Amino acid sequence: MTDKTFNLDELNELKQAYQLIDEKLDGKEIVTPEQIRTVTMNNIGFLKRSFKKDISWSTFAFIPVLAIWFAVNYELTAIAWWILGIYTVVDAALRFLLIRMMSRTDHSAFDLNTLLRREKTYMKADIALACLGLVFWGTFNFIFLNTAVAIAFVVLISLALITKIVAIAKGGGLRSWRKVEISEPGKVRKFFIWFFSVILAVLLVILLIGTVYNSVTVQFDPIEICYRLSYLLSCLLIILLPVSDKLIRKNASDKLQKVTVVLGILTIAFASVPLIQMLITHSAIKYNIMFPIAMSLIVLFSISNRRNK
Amino acid sequence: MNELQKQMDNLELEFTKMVREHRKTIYTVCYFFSDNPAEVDDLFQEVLVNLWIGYPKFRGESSVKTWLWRVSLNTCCSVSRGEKRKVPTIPLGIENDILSSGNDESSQQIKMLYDRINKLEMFDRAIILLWLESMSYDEIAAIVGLSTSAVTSRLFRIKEQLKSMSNN
Repeated sequence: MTDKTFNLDELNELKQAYQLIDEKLDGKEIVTPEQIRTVTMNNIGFLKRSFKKDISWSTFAFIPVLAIWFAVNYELTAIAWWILGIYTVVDAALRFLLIRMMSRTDHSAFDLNTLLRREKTYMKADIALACLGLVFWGTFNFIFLNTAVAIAFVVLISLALITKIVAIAKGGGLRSWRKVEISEPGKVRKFFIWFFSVILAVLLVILLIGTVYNSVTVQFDPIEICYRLSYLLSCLLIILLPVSDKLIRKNASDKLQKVTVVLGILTIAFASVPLIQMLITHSAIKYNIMFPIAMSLIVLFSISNRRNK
Repeated sequence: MNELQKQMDNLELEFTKMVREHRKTIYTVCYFFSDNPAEVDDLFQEVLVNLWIGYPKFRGESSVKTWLWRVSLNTCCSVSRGEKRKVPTIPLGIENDILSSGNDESSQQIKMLYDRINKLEMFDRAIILLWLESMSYDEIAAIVGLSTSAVTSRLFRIKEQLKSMSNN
């Protein structure tokens, strides 16, 4: 079949090909009444649908991370706990409202243009909530905990957000291991990608200077170096992600993907050293060592997700 | 309670009948929004659910076919755009190879049509599908939410694009 036999200069040929589909489908069963009933009835519940469809797994993954974080930071005051509680409730309520609005969109009530515009607004609201969270958690940590913890926490949330925006939001949930069209990011996504990359780049430089300064002036501590290196690498890793994202669209990302995978493995290796040391010496475990590991795993997951596409 | 149950049963029967009558339309739209059999399954189910949600409110102001096209296109565009929000679905076992199988001339002709339409942007894909369905410009405009003149100019551009694909 060549373009000569299928001459698209005559667009009616397209219509003929389209009608062939109709002929091919004629008389085919496709779905039985029982299947129609099962599918519609099984998926109709708002909450059931929402939990499956709109609440991403990463949102849930974040809850235990937060729980661990605050469980080890026992110096929180009563006021801090109140602020934390109120914010969590408000945030959950807003998210629930947003999900409810998204799930209850009647696809038959709008034309395509209006529907897509509405969905875009929901997406922006979702990102706005995430950014509000970043500002809140950052400020909260700076006020109620110490600066080092706050910086680490901002790094963590930035990593989570950028990973979500760049990789997961596009690649899709746990079952999207199949081919997905990678679209050019819109202005909003581009802005966030670069915004978080700049934040991370600044933190990376601060950590780098700190590491060099400490290793020169203070007593050389290989465990501390490994700990810092794991943070450094996870920052670097996440900065590489948008670049590799761009290259993927140009089908030229293979080398960079390999580099990212190696960096991810190195991050886990470096982070494992202080972790193993803590386990061997039975000393109190610093849970923030889990963050570079968790972030590397997320990045590796998103990379493998792409590789499978 | 029994009366309500009876009404629900009737609604369900009517709905099932309507879906079976127009299954080809739904399937065709889903087919043009994914080349993956499992995804076609998922899309089909998403469309069914959205049809069911909207069905009680359907007043018959437009034809069933137009309404069905609107819901199917809205769902497929929405799902294709936000791949992240996939719903784990029940395998329907739809005969997905109906269109792709076979080496005869017609199968290849369909494949070529499919390949070219899939190179178009999602919104343009929706418009050209409606045009292929021989809908009037006014109907297309109502479904996609553009003015008739905008549809005309957009269709002209899409056709030019398809022609250039052919020339390439």
